[in-house]
Amino acid sequence: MLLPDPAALRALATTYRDRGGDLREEAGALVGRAVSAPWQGAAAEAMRTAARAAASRLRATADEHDDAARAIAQHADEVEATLDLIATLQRRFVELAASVGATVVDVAGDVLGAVGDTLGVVGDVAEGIGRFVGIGGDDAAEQLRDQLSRMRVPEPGDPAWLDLDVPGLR
Amino acid sequence: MTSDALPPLSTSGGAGGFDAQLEAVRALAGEYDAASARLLSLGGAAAATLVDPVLLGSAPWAPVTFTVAEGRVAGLNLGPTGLPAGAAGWWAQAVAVREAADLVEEADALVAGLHHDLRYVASYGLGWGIGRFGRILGVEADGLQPGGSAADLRALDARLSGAPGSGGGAGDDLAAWAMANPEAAEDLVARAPGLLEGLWDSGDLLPSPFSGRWYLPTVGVAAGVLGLWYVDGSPRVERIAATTSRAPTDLASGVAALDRVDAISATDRAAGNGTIEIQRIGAGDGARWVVLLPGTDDLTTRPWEQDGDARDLGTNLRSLAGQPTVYQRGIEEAMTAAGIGPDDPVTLWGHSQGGMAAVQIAAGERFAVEDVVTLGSPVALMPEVPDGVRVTSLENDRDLVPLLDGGPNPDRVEHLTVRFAGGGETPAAAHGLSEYARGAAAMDASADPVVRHRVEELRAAGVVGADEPATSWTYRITREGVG
Repeated sequence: MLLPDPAALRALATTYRDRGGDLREEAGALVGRAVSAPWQGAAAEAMRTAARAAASRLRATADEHDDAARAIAQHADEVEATLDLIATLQRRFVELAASVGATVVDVAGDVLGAVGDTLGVVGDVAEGIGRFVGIGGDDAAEQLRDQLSRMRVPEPGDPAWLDLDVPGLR
Repeated sequence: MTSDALPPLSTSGGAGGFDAQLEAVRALAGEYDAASARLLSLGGAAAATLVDPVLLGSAPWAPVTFTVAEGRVAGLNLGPTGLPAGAAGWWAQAVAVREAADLVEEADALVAGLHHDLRYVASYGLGWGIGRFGRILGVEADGLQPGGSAADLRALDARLSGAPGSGGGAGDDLAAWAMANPEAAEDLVARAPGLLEGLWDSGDLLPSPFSGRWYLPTVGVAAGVLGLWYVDGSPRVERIAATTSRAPTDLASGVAALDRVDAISATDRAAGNGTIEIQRIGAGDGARWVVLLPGTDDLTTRPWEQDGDARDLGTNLRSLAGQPTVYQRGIEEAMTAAGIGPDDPVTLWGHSQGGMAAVQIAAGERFAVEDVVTLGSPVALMPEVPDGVRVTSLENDRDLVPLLDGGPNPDRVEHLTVRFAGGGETPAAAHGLSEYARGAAAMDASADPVVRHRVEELRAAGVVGADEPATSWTYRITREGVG
């Protein structure tokens, strides 16, 4: 699965922010050229008025580029936060599975378990077992192990992790 | 009249002229076009962003912010402040500005043409009336017409010489008036062709401007018709001497060099008539060439008096008409003989008729002329020089010779005319190179931005400023095929 790239999205946002700056600069330069053109009279003044109006619209276009840049940057932040959340869910899922002795296999048939710190996973086992013993005793842990073993979890980073409904995951 | 102070200057053409202004306005239209193209390109880029895999592929991870971002980017191509609308706006402005520049140029040409035609019709009418009256008194100007007999011309000459008011006193008064009123004098010259045509047509029952036997709309055409009385002949080019000199350090020293060559053919040294000088500065591929061209040696040549002088009245008339002359061809022959190749950079300095010849040589494109400096030359009617050739025309306000073309010099970015409030009690003094040396010194010292711009251009091109040794060859050009 091709995962989104927040850094590339931020680069795109920077591109739009730069374009906004360039457009603002160009608006100023075009008005400057219109004002300094060696042309006098009513037609020249009409041209200068039109140039100022067009430059004002160009500045609004520049502002819209800034808005687009902000929206893309905000999107990049959101994507990054989602990826972090997915990684957390995946890590906690593996921990949970390890705590009940289940093997986790994803949709591609790959065995998961490499996510997160192995020592941390082992350390969490006791807490997981205790939680499930607290919830429903050995039967519940057995039931959960069966459920987890049968599941084909999404690939790492897949937004489908967000829809995974497993007791004790969240 | 002459004082030590440098004379004030005024300019037309060049970086501050009408043509330069139109060029600047058209450049503004070009900038608007470029802005329009950039906005269109940005619009295309925004459209491409909408389907950019980086953005599109991120949608499942943050659909809400994705939709907002896509909406903002899509909005860049929508509405009155959208990129396509902005592009259309600047394009429309470019069209309007360009149209306005075209209209201004056309209106200028239209008014100039109308002014010319009104002046022509008025002077034709006056000439026709004078002609009719003269015929009643038994005086006809028909003898001047080409195709007439030399005997008629001589008779007219004799009659006019003996006419009341034709004495030196009247001529001096007219010259004094013209020197004090150069604009009015130039207008009078511009009226002369119509006047002459009217005189010639006055033998007909009804006046017929534009459609008579003769049509003399400009001084150039009239000069060309009168020039038919003269034989142009063939040039004879002799190398007189080789010597060393120095390249001009500034405009004044360039004029001084030309003055030195001009002195070889002073009034009392007719044996030197037709002398020019060619300088080579540097050597090999980096060599530059300077050609110094003095002006008329014999201004009062009558057709039956033509001799070997190439720089005579007949050559002046042909030059005014823009026709090839024996002087111009002789200069080109000498330039080739001196070793100037078709691609070697050349600067031509010409006084009076020499300036006219210089412009003709530049226009002929046989040599890679980069700069022409004319001093007191009537060059308004000369053939147009190619783009890239700078022409700098220096004119003394009191000099009558530059007025003989009957109109202003071309107002082009590359053709700068600098007029200076010079001195000179007599027409000859006002036309002399000592006055032009003062005008050139005023240019060298001028703070006027247009003049400064040109001086810097000439300096950058090496026309002035290089205090280098030069090898010089002197040639004498005479006419063969007369008498």
